[in-house]
Amino acid sequence: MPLKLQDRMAPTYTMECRILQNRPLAKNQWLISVKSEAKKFPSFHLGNFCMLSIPSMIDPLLPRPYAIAEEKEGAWTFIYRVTGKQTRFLAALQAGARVDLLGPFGKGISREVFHSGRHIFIAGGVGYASLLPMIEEIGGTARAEVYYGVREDLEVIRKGKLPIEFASDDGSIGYKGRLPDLLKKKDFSNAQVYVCGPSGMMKGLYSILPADQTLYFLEEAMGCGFGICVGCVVHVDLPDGQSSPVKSCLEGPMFSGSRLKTWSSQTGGH
Amino acid sequence: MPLLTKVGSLQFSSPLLAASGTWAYGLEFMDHPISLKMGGFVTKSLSLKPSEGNPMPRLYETDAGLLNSIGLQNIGIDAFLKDVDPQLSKRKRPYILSIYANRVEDFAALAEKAQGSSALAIELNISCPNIDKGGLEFSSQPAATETVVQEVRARVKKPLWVKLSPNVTSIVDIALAAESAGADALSMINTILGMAIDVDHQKPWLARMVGGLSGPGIRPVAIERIFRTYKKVRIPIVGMGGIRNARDCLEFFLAGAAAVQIGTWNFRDPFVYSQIEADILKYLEHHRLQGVCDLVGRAHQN
Repeated sequence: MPLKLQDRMAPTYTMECRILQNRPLAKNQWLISVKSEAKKFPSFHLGNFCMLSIPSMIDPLLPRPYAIAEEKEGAWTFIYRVTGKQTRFLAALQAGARVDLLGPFGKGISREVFHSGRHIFIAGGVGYASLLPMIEEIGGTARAEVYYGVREDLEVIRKGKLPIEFASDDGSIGYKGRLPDLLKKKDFSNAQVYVCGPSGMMKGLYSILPADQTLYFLEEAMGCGFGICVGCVVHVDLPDGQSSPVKSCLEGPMFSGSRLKTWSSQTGGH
Repeated sequence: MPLLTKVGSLQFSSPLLAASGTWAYGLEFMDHPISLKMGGFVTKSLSLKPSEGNPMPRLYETDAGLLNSIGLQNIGIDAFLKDVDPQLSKRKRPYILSIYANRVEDFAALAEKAQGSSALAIELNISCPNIDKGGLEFSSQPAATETVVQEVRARVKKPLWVKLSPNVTSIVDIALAAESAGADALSMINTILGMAIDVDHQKPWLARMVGGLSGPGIRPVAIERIFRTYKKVRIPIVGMGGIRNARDCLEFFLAGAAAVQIGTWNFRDPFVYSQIEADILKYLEHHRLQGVCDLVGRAHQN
């Protein structure tokens, strides 16, 4: 197993933040926007995430990762699905309350990438939030298409400037059915493809999408977010046909499809 | 120098260290100012050969605690000595090298290699609950503990810390066995064996089914084991188990720990060290004490 020594982390400290707004955006999905009390947020690449925790609470104990969905006037916005212990507490917090933030973490993409070329975004559920900053960055001579799968129309996050082609389980918006069926005849030539959604959905798309051109956002559960807990590993393929567990917080959260053949064949845990 | 701490012959600028498995190999924060605030760190345990660790999921958060079954994924001692140790050594980062094996011979071989590192001390991990062989078996029988500690002792000049498991009938007997075999200090405690079941899918949460429990919930268990062991051994104790603030650290000192290690809380706030030190200093001043060393074992007198 080759060791990949990580680049030095830019000095960062736990930042005490105030909530500017925290409100429902769609069914079970909330938007929280926070600003640091003492210092300015550092610059970040698109696709970076932060770890949020609720001060003085030890249950939930660990921070949770949230993709930076938007930066506006010195504040960062995160969009989250209310699904577990922390998100239920988070949704109960009012504007003015404190949250602790660590980050930004993960590898990201520079903004210029989205100013030219052809880009295809494929989102499932709240995964749309992670693609949003890239969708919003599309400009210059770039062309882009967005596909967005939901269970029902009430789940749609209505943000983003690009037109969207929808697929829904119940047919309440767009194509009735799953994204792989909608996309299987699609032409992906010369396109960079970005996929973020539940792992079952992403694995379902794996055989349809050109591996080399596709980035998968593997939003694994993480214990720390910065490489020390080893709880978020993903098995990526090596050139010799073997696979190796790498920390998705440091190496990811985006992985090229060309490294994910083993991953695509693994059945998920929970 | 109220924070100056001694563990046997070793001196630390602060009694706060990062625990094994919660600071990786120290590279992430190697050049961060926080690494100058702490006394040092213990590496993730290294084995003779690289190890991939256990399948996912490996983490499950319990009420105020964390169950992990990472399974000691590591790069192996050779890669560590070649790629990591020179970086730490160049920056003079104080660290303790943790090693684990599933056979006595492998522990001995590891110890010889570890002796060549720039580590201040070796921590012998004989108490990981997350591996099939060699985890708990060396730390659950005094005779087995004695054998492995003796074999390692014979090969290392560096101070030897032995990390004990709480998953035993009598931790004092294990501690005495380690002491008589030549350990310089005891690290107490490793995680507590635990399990959680996903009631929706009706199966264990962790892929390996069982894991080690850590976090604030286990602190009273650690305090009791340390308090009990402190009475019986002469070598120093390094305490860990659920520490997240200065008051938690003070509890460990008072129970008998000469230094402490912060573990799971590093995942929540890796920069907590400065705040804890400031709060410990305030406490010492308030109680008109010279230093942390005046606190060690003090709860036994009152």
